[in-house]
Formats: sequence, C-alpha cells, structure tokens
Amino acid sequence: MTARVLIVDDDPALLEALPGMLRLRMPDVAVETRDSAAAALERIVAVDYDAIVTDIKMPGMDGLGLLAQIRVLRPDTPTLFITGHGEHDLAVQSLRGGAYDYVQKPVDRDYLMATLGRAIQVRQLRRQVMAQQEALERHAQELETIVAIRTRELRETAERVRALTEVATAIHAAQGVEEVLNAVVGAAGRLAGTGIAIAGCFREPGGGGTLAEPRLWEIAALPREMTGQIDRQEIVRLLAHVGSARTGERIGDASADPRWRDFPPGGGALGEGNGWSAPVRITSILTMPVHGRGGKILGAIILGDTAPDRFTEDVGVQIQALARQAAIALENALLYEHERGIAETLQRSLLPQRLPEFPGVAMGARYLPGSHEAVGGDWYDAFTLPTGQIALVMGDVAGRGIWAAAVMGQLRNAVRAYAHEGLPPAAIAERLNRLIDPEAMATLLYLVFDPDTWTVRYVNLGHVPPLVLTPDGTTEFLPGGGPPLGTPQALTYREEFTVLRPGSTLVLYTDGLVEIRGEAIDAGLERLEQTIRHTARLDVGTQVDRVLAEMLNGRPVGDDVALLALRATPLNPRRLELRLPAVPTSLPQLRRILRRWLDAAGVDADDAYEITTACHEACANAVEHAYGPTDQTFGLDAAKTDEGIVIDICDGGQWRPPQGARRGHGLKLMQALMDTVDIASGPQGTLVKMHRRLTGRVRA
Amino acid sequence: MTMPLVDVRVKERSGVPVAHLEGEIDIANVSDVRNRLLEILTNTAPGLIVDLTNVTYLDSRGVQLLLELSERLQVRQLRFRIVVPEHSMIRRVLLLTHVDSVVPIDAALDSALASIQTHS
Repeated sequence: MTARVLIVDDDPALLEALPGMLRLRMPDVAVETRDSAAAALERIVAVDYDAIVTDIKMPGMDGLGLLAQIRVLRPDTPTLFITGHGEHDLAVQSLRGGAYDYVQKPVDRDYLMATLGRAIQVRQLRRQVMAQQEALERHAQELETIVAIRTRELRETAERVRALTEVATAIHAAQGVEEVLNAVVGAAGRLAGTGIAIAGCFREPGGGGTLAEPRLWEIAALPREMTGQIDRQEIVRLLAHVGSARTGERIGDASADPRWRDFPPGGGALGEGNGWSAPVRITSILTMPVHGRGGKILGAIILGDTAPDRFTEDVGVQIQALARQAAIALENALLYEHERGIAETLQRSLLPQRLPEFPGVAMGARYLPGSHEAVGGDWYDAFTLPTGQIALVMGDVAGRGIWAAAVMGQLRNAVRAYAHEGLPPAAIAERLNRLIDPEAMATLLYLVFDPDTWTVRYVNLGHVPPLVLTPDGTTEFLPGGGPPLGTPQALTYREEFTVLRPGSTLVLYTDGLVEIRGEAIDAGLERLEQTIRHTARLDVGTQVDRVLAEMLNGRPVGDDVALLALRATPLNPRRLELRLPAVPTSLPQLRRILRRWLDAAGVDADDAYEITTACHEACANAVEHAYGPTDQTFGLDAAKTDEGIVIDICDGGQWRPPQGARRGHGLKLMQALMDTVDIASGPQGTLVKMHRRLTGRVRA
Repeated sequence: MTMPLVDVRVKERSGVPVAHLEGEIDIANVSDVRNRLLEILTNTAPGLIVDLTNVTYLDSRGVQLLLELSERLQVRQLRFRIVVPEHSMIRRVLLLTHVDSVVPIDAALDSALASIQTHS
C-alpha cells in the first residue's frame, strides 16, 4: 500500500534532496512537497497524508503554527519536525504541541527514514484499526437493526397468533348464536384494529326462507350500542350480499362506492352518549363471508373504519382466518339451538298444561329448565284417577337432550296409562322397570292421594324423598324406597303408605332443587325443610315460588329443577263450589266430591246418596244435552242452610227435551229425590235449582 | 275409554247366563256395559240374569239400559231378571223409576235362577 507523505520547507535545496532520498530508500512512499505552511495547509485540507515532515522556521506561518492547524484538521496524521542546530527548545515545544518526532539538521538520513517509516506504519495501522472499527460498528449496527426488525416481526406474529388463539377460544367458548356473534365482532375489531364491526348469522329455517328476510338473521355489532340502532332491513341486505359472495372484499374509499356510502345504515344517527361525538363516516370497509361445510352460507362479517385504506391485505387474511373459526362455532351453536329447541318443545309438551282442580286440594308446580346445558329429563305430572284419587308423579331421567326427553315421554305416558287402568303403585313400578329402554336410568316417585281417606300410597324408585309439611309446621321426609328404574335385575317393589293430617302439604321435587355442587345432599335437604317450614303460612302457589327462589338463591340453574306441592284441607261444611269439564268422566268425580262434602256437612248416608243421585242426573243432562263437541264446563254450587241442602247447577247450554220412550228418567229421579226442582232455561244457559230438607236424620 | 269403575263378568249357572256387574254404572261407561250384555244374548239360553248385587251406583242411563234389555228379550221371548239385594242403595232408584213394573227384581241370585228355570 502506497503511503503519502508531504514535505514542507522553505529551503529549495532540502526540498530537492529529501524526496529523492525518500523515493530511493522508501519506494512505496509517494512524496509531495510545498515551500510554505500556507500552501501545505491547502493540500492537507484536500489530502489525508500518512505523515507530514515540516521545517520549524519558515517565513509566514512557521512549523509550530502549521502543527496547530494540522492538529485541528488531521489530528491523526503524524507530523515530524526538522529543526536547526541549537533549536532544541523549539523541538521540545513542537513535541508538546503534538509532533510525532523531530530530526535535527544536518539531517541524519537513517534516523529520518526510521522515524518516518514508523510514523507511517503507526498511521496506517491506526487507519486500519479505525476502518475495522468502523466496519465493525457498522456491522453491529446492521445486526442491531436486523434484530430489531426480526423482534418486531416475531412480536407481531406472536401477537397475531395470540389474538387468533384468543379469538378462537372466545368464539368456541360462546354458547348460542348471539354469544358467538358478540365474540366475533369483538375479535374482528381487535384483529383489524378498529372499533366498528358487524357480524350476522343466517338461521336457515327447516321450511326454507331467503337470505333477505331480516327475521332469519341474528346480528351483533361493535360498538354494542349500535346493535339496536342500525337499520335492520338495510344491514341484512348488506350481510346477505357479503354472505353470498365467494370471497371478502377490501374497499379503501367507501364514499366512491354507492353500496357502502351510507355504512353503517342508520349508524350515522349514533350521537353523544354512545361514545360517538359526531355522526360516523366510514371510509374503509372490509367484508368477509362466513361459509360452513359445503359452502353453506352461515353469515357475514363487515368491518369499518373512518380512515381511508385502513385495511391491509394482511388484515384481510386474518379476518378470513377469523371467519373460518366463526363458521365452526356458528355451525355448532345452530345445531345446539336446534337440538335444544326440539328437546325443550318435547319436554314442555309433556308437562301438564294445568293441574287438576279438586275441592279441598290446592296444588302448585314449578319447572325451571337448566340454563347452561342441554335440556334434562326431569318431569312432573298430576292427574285425577277415575276413582277420584289424585296421582302425583315426579321423575328424573339420567342424561340430557332429545334422548332423555324422549325416555321421559315414554315413562310419563306409561305411568298415566297404567294409573288409569287402576294399577296400584308397586305394580306400576314393576311394569315401568320392564318397559324402560335398557340403556336408560330414571328415578321416579309415584304417589296416590285419596281425599276421602287422607291416605297416600306411594313408591319411591331411587328419587329424593317427598316431604310432608304438617299443619303444625313440622316437616318429615316420607321413608322407604327402592332402586331406580333401569336396574337390570327383575325387582318387586314395596308400596309405602302414610296418612296425612288435614291441612298437610306434600312436597315433591327433583335433586336440582337441593343439590349444590361440592355440598353433601343432606345439607340441601335440611335447607329444603327449613325453607318449607318458614313458608308454611303461604298459599301453595306462592309457597312453591318462594321455595324455588330461596333454594336457588340466585345461583345459576345448572340442572333442571321441578317442584310440585299438594295441600289437602278439609272441605267447608257450609259451602261447596265446583266447576268441572262437561265430559262424562267428570260425573264419578262429582259424585265422590259431593258425597265427601255431604259427609262433612253432617248429612246421613241415605240422604247423601239420594242428593248425590239427583245432582248427578242434573249434571249428566248438562254434559249430555247442553253442549256441542267443544270444551265446556258446568258448575255446581251447594250450600247447607237452615232449610236443608240447596243446590244450583248451571251450564251454558240449552237442555233439549227428552227423546224416546225410555228416556226422561233423569228428571223423574231428580223430582222424586228432591223436595223442589226448578229448571230455568234461557239464552245464557240452563240453571237447575234444587232443594232438599233434612228431616231429623242429620247427624249432630 | 273403558272405565275401571265397572267390571262385567259372565258365568253360566244351570244353562242360564248370569252377568255379574260390579262398580258404578253411569253415563260414562253405560255403553260399554251395554255392549258386553248384548254380546251374551243368545236364542239358545232360556233368558238372562243381571246381578247388580255389587253395583254401588246406577244412574238414569243405567235404568234405560235395563229397560232396553227387557224389551229386546221380550221380543225374543226370553226371560229377564235382575238381582238387587234389599239393602242395596240402587234399589230406591229402580223403584222410583218403576223398573220393577217391567223387570222382576229378585233379592238374591238363587231365587232369580229358580224363577227362570220354573218358567222355561
């Protein structure tokens, strides 16, 4: 490598001699000369020499002055001084001023060569070191930049993966279409970095229906407040448009696009109080169809932003990934809703529409479907047997969903059928155990209450025990029971028996009422007893409401809960009021109730039989003649007065005159058995008033 | 729907079909009872006995049924008797509706059987 050296001296002889000598002895050195400090400075500004050799004493700027300039301009360039004999002080001064070395005149050529060579070497080494250092620094800097870029990329990727994972988790944790959609708009907004998003799900009904029908769409919006304010008709049109497209679309300037100019439709009306300071003007739009298996249109996602060209291709890819997650979640949610809908309908249709009405018997029932899982298999039932007794049923099929509801339906109908056949509780239990689906398991409580004798006959097949609240306000669980239905061994069941005191309340329920996860069931049963006791004074309907509220105490209903209560009170001996369906099967019931009331009123058995027969005939006429084949009722109002028993029977129809020779015995019987019979027929219906004196045969 | 409130069992005693009814007979189940009784009417038997000993209730439709049976048997020249114990609750209903003027009422099955056999 060629070194460049500048020699400065006002002595032409020296300027002649030195370069020649240097060229000779140091062939790698390029030598330049200048005869003044000023001329030298000009070059030094332009050229970075490896060494400078200068005379000290020169006219104009001397060597020391030049050194001072060099130290400023080229601080790394070694400067050698040539000093005259006896200029030792100056030489020392030059060293202090930063000179590399000095050579005294007459110049010792060897020494000069040696010191100059060293100076050049040091200079070049330093330059090399500096270059390397610079290169190193540059490299380090480049590395740093690369690391920074990579780190940012990594962080962004991680953030994106995290966001998508979070999105997937949130979406799949959501239950029901509405929750999924809310998770989707939240996630879409986060992924795209915007606050405006709308997602819709199309619920395709079984019987067909088009995308354009707003009632078939469930919609969620971000911000939340927008959901209620957007123009539903218009947003459904847009969602249907986006949903039917094969791919998504990015629009950088919505104002130039007539389809999107007014997006969100109706959203511009969002004002203060919603976090919107001014009407929203959306400029950027990103659309994404949500398609399920087989390309089925499930819905659509629309994102908006006020900034133009806001959504990059990258955001588009992410929203596409989101749409795939949303599709899976929505398909699941729709299936879940569908199944739950079927099961709920099935279950609801199997619960009694109304409880049997019976004088002296008050009933209340509540049913709460479990909120978070599929429908369970709990059911209750209450009906009057042809014998006039009241059957109460409480059951719980293990498992959930349509299957459990179907098993429950089979059991419920079987219980009713066997009960109407007149089978006793134990026989019903045995038949049910043979009938039940071998895969199924169910607990069941079947009770028959006889209002005439105040007796309760029952079987308990693995069910939580029924509770009796006595008129003194004490409680006791009814004992006894066998294994649940579906227990493989052929079993015979034992019928249990108890007698209620008048005024007692029977309480039947399912385990959902008393069971709290992580708590022993005894604690729940004890809580039920306490709750039943301190609500004892309420009427049965209010009591079941209160018991349900207090037992659940605001905790979410995980399992289904069914509760059924029956309170049996003595009849009022002065008055009986009845209203029964105008069907033949009401008549045996009417006779039983009437006999029970006449007994309570102290009427002797023969009189009671005759009064009952007369009433039966009047009511049979109401049933047989009064009505067309529609659901109607008739009423009986009986009172015990000082004159005896007074009975009014009314219906809404017209009595027809008896037809045929053998007919008309009914009226004859009524007239023969009662003291007076008056029949008043008018456009409003027919009223039969009957009166029977009680002569001496009245019991005390 | 068949109501379990009434039970009809038919036995033959000395060549005479006897229908033992048990329970309550009223508008709700009278047509079932009627069908069962019409099934057992034959021309070969000397007549029919309807045993109401264990019937605890009989309404005017039950009365009509007895009168109808009586008519049908009369047309075929067959004898018809009903059994109702003295203490029975339904006896008063039968007397009040004058069933006894058309259908002979026996207090016990034996006497009813004896009457039919004597006349045949």
